[in-house]
Amino acid sequence: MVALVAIGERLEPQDAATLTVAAARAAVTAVREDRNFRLLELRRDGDSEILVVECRSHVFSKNAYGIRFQEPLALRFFRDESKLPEVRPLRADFPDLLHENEQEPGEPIGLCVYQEPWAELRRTWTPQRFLRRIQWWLEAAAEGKLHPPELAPEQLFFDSFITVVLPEDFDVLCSKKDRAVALEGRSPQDGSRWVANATFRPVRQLLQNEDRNYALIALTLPEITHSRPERTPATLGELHERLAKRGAPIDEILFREILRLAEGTGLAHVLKQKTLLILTVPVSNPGGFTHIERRGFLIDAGMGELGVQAGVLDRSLDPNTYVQVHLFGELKLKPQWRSTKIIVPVELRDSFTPEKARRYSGIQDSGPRGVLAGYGALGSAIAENWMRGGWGRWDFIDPDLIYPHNLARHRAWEPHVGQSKVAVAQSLHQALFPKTPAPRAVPASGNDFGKPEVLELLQGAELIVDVTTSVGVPRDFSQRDDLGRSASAFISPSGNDSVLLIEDAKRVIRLDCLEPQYYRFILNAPWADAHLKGHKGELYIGAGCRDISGVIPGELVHLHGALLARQIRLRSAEPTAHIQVWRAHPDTGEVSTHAFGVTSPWIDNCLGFEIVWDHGLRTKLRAMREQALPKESGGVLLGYGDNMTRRIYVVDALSPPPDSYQSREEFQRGVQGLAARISEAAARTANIVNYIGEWHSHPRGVEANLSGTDLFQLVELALLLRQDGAPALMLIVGESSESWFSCEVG
Amino acid sequence: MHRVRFYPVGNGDTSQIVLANGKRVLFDFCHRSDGEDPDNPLIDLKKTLRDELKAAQRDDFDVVAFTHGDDDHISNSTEFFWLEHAGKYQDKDRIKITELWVPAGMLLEESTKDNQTSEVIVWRQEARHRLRQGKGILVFSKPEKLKKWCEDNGIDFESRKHLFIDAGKLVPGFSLPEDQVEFFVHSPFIKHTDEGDELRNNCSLIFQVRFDVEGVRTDYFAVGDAGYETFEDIVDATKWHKNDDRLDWDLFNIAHHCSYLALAPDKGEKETEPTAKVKELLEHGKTDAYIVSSSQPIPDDKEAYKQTQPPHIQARKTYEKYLEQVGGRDFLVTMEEPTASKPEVLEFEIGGQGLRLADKAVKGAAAVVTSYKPRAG
Repeated sequence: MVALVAIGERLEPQDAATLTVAAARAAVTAVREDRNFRLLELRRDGDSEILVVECRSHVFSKNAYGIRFQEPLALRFFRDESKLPEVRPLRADFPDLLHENEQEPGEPIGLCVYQEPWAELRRTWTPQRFLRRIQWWLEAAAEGKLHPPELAPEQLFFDSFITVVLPEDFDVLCSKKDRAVALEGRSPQDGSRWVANATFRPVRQLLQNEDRNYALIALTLPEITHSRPERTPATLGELHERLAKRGAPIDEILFREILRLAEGTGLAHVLKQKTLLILTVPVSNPGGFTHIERRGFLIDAGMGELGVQAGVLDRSLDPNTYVQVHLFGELKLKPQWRSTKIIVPVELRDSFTPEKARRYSGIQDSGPRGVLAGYGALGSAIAENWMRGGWGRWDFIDPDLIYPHNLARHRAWEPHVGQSKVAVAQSLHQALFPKTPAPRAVPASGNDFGKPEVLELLQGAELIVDVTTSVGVPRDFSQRDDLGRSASAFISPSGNDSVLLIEDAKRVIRLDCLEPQYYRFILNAPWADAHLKGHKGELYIGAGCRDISGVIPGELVHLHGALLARQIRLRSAEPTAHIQVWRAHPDTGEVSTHAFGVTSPWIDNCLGFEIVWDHGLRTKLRAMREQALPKESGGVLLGYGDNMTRRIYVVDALSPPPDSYQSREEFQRGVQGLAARISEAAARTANIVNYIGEWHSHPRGVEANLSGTDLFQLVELALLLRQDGAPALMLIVGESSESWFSCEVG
Repeated sequence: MHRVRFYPVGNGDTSQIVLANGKRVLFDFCHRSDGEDPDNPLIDLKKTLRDELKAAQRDDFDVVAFTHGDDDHISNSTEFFWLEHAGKYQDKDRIKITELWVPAGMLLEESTKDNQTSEVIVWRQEARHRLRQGKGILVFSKPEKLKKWCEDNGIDFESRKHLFIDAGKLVPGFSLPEDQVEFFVHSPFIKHTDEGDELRNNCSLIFQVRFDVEGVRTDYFAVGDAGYETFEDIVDATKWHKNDDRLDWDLFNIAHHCSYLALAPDKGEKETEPTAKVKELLEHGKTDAYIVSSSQPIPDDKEAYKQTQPPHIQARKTYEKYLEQVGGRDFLVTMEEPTASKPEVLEFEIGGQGLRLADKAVKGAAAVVTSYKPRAG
């Protein structure tokens, strides 16, 4: 006969009609209809009704976990329906398994058959499924499948309602001899859970009659293998025995530590003092996963008293000090210490640090030392993602202040109005990680290289991310060889699109060389016709953050901020240069993306300017020449100049207008539709890309040398462009090479 | 994981052992054409086995054992298997047999009984052909007893001797170290009588199949048809040879569709009182053991007690009584599991943690979407 654990009292009469809890009645029906269950008895316990049943499960006959084919169980249903129905095995020798719930002492352990919270589960719960779930639990338990090896080991103790947050430098602090710990409540104490911060103070500051000061003993135990969680012990002796059974006795370790702390001048006597015992236990599972479990217990005795009880300390000489009793050889403990009460177990949590942030976010790489140039709406969204993920150590450069309208999109709050944006970045970082060194914040433009603090910041960075929404800053970064890899990110004026340009790790292809390629792509992609439309004149992406008239919902800024934060993180781990655009459909929320193939840039010198073009454009030009052969071909060149970098950036070459004259000897570029094509190019690129010159090809066998006709044309061009104050630019595509010619009048 | 499967073929037998290493041993073959109708509770055995083999990417069995030649153990088998002795049994979609196991009775002519069909003659020809070829067959019998028969049939006995397997021996080709399984032969056997040894050639094959996975032993008593006298002789012989553990069983495929005659000469009113030696065999059951009756459902109602043809409810009661006594689990009827209206293949799993019924029953919505529903109008 199987010995059963008693629970509640027998219900009379033994009839489902006697039951008052609806779920219990429904369960009786379900049990009767399920061939794997047999109803043995109905019982009542306080405000709950119990079905004692026998469950047959298809477990292996000799399973290593000791689950039997037929298991007597108590299914307990509460009058209060907000309580999860319980399952308790009634066989007295039911094995200790994982996934069991803690009950009152002496009560049978409950099976943790559900992982989901009851509040969610009860919406779909039926007694029939409940029975199947119990059967499944037993079968899975018998196969050791309740807790697959790939999961983290089961915790050592059940959860506690008190959580203490340990400081980051806990390990260092708790090894010091003269420290005690004070608990500072973080949540109102009337709640069912309570969170407190543990702060370490020198013991001499604790010589007051304070309730929340604790002596601290932190012990590290040998590794144990995980099993089901231990019930909360009532005394220190019980705690010792539980752990000793698992191969990690604490008695000797505990009192040796007390003796160590009392070495020399002894331990000060502090009235009302209790002890916070912190155990660090490596727990491993059969899959080879080990996790470090840290668990605290508030002990109803000061450390000194504990030592006296065990006979290792003495206070008879000086009532204010506990001193070591002279012990010879082996530690012999008096048993009195064992009955010291454990007031309450304490759950311990580590402080939030960047390292923890990465663990919670699943980010392996700690990230670069970086500078974020531009802490506007988008920059702040990107930065917050990185901060919360613990990726990178970021410093900030931005010349602006927070104005009231910024609050619509910016990660800033009303009290920040009037502060510099970089100071806000700094304070948000501090709000997340109070103990981590603050980021550096320089209130200046990213390209203000005249300021030593700007240059110092930039030169120290492994990754510079430009989110300034200006064209100048990234171009200026590109001119410097003493900076790290740079990326530039921005969103389109509509807020629907975002763009990322990132240099290769060796900085062979720099931001200012990626920029014209990006324009060529959006000039030629059908989907990009409205990509940069809605801009306000000459600005790169339209209205800057200082412009109150800029209308972009914060939703889109944060959406793109999240996309870009992740993409910059991922792309910066790859060595290649990259251009990509994301488009969020404003109504459906669908995000599509377009990545472009970056080609190697070429830089040619011509009349004091550097002409920046690239392999992709050359291929296009040679194809147009090839197509026209044996005749010549030609058309206009699109691009832009930058007086600061002294560079002309060639974006694209247009095909000949239909009214052009093409022969074997000459090419005369027509005009039909050309003005419209150029203004379309300007419109698509926020007025950045415009007419910059002409190109034409030479026939077969003729190299790219300037002919008399060509020279004549160049001069005429120069005269006309003089009106814009710009030089004339001409590209000749010859048999095997290309040549640039420039002419400036005056 | 090793698997033992029982197929719901009515009052007939078909079971299969699928070893963890992929080897397949089929015991008997009873295909009923009624089973081809999806509404009939009988299984479509041909289709089921074909599907299984296809899933395992095979077109053969390592072993097919015919425990004896009765129709309910070989029905429609000659349409299903590739037979080596004649071209007309060699259509391309037939299933091949690497090694055929038969009792001596199926090989010898004198064993012809009334209820033997033309199919048993085909199998006799196949068995003889394989014996002549000297491969792909094991015949269960006392070798010396077949010596004369070999000489009469122009077969060189000495070169075929290894193909005759005696009772009390382990069947070659399987071993615990290699396969985690061994087959101990209980029958056909020699009966010791006052007149000397007598070969009971009419006996069907009976094995104790022993699985040993990481030191955990599971014994399966695989029985063709046999009466209580056979079991009594088996108990006697096994004990005489001090092989008592070869009577142990964790899984018992009982004889002759739960006939009382496998227990005792008298059916009994409420239950069959087994003879002392049969009782002894039943008491060799182990904790958590199962009994399987390959038969039609065995209801427990008034009518059932009057039945003359097996299955017999009185026998079931007896088996259940002894199963409970040894701490066993369940008496399962192939045509009752999981329901009598739609029985399915009964599968047991055997591994390092012993034996269990593989519960493949799907319930609730999952069952609705995995089964055909009655037509809606």
